[in-house]
Amino acid sequence: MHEENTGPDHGQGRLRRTLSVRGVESGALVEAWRNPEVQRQVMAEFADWLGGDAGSMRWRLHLPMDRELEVESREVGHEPGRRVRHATRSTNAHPASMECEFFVQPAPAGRGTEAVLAVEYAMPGGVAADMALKLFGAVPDVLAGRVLRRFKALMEAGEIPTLARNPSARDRD
Amino acid sequence: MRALCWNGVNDLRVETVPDPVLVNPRDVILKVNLTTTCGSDLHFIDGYLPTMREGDVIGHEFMGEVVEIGAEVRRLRPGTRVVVPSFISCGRCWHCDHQEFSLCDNTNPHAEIQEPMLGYPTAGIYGYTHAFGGYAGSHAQYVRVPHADVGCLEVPDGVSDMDALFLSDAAPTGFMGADYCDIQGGDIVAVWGCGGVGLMAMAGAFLLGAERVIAIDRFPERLALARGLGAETLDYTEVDVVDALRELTGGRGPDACIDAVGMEAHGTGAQYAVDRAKQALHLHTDRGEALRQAIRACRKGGVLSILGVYGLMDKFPIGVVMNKGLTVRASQVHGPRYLPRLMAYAQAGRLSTSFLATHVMPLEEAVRGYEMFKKKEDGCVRAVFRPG
Repeated sequence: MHEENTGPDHGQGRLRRTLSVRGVESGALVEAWRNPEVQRQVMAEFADWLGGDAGSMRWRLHLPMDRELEVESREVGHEPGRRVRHATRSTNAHPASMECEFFVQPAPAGRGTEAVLAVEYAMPGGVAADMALKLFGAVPDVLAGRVLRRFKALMEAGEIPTLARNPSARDRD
Repeated sequence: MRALCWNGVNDLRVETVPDPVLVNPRDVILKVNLTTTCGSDLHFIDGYLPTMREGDVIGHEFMGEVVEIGAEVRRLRPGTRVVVPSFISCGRCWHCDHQEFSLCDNTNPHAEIQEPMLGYPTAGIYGYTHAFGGYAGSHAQYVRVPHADVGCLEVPDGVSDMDALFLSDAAPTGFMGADYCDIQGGDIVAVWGCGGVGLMAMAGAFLLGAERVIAIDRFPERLALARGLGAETLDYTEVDVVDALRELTGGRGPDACIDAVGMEAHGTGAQYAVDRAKQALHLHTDRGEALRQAIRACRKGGVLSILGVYGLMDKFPIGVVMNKGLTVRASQVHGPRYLPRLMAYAQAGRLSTSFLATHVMPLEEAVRGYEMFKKKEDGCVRAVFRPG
């Protein structure tokens, strides 16, 4: 994963994450990424689906320290079978923003398709924003790493690994 | 249900926990008939491996009977008696397609814990640390088995529960270690450790055509079990192992050396004392005495096959490996690669495993079972639990 701070302001950056996916034709991966039901499953650990369609999806993001942020993710570019781009903004005037591009490229023989997620994010607002980004800071990793891994599992294996309802003695209290 | 839970370093308790349920469509729920201790459990019980959470249900070597199946399970039905590999694999990713099942891309829910250290995450495993997924383990009355069509192998009539149990982990791990040695006619294989995995490595080496097998341990009863398989034995507290192996192999050294000991090796001498001190001070996680000995003992151009579990070790003599031209092979067990073959051996009477079950007891006595297993009391090789 490549991550960098792009400007003098705190709270901005971009990163890119790639995983290889087998068993699904590359164009179908792009269309699956646009599918709200797929997005709902992939994002389930991190956000509640509030509604929408492929053109515009609304989410409630789970942030550290029990904070939440409602956002709208709009599709702002789509080359069928090749790439799709989403712009995400807060629905309640919070200055955080993010743009994500998902695109595919061929992998060497037998490796399937390389699925790439490129993320640019910004949270302007000085030191306070910088601190917020540290709280919020898991999000770029979450989106570029965990989300892409969950997407790969769903596409390749048909399900996402989960510890939901995993028995333990932690419930004894 | 009742289950054996980890509650802190050397703090195990049998407790009541919620029953597992079907979560994903390829899951089954298994009623556990038999489940056994494994030496790799001791690493987190003793506190050497991090990312356990209080209340975790442990155990990863087991067999039982299918009682519920998910909507997309095709090969199994309620009532099917199965043995289950310790690692969970999806059967569809590149690694599964290449028979590297413990490297599956799609079954570790906590891949992000492993990635910073390993670069790329492994598969998930039952009843182990959260770095390896955090799935509830098999020391329980019931367990959820994800991707059950890939993992579960039906136990045929004529193979008892006890004969099937060790095909879950000890037998395929040991056999894999022997397979990695690329054994040729006339080869001599040395195996460090006469626990369940080491003994199965010896059995595997003979099945794959080794001329001779030399077993290294310090416990007389375990060395006797190795001799029962046809191995020659060395007690490392009585001889210099490297010298002894040189003499036993015509001055050449063993063609292949299998480490079935791992990070809590015992030993003699100054390096062992340094290892213990550094481990106690958390300066590294591993006592690598057996591994270093195997590297020195192996013949030039030979194979080092590592089955023992390790964390982070310094003082690893890579220069010796390089200058002697050793081939190093290692992995966690790729269970489904070997299970059908081992089941066929068991059916044909060519592989016996139930002798590993030296102590069988109800799950309610599992804390005592682990204590016996850890301290090797009463000749304990494996404690086996019947959840009932």
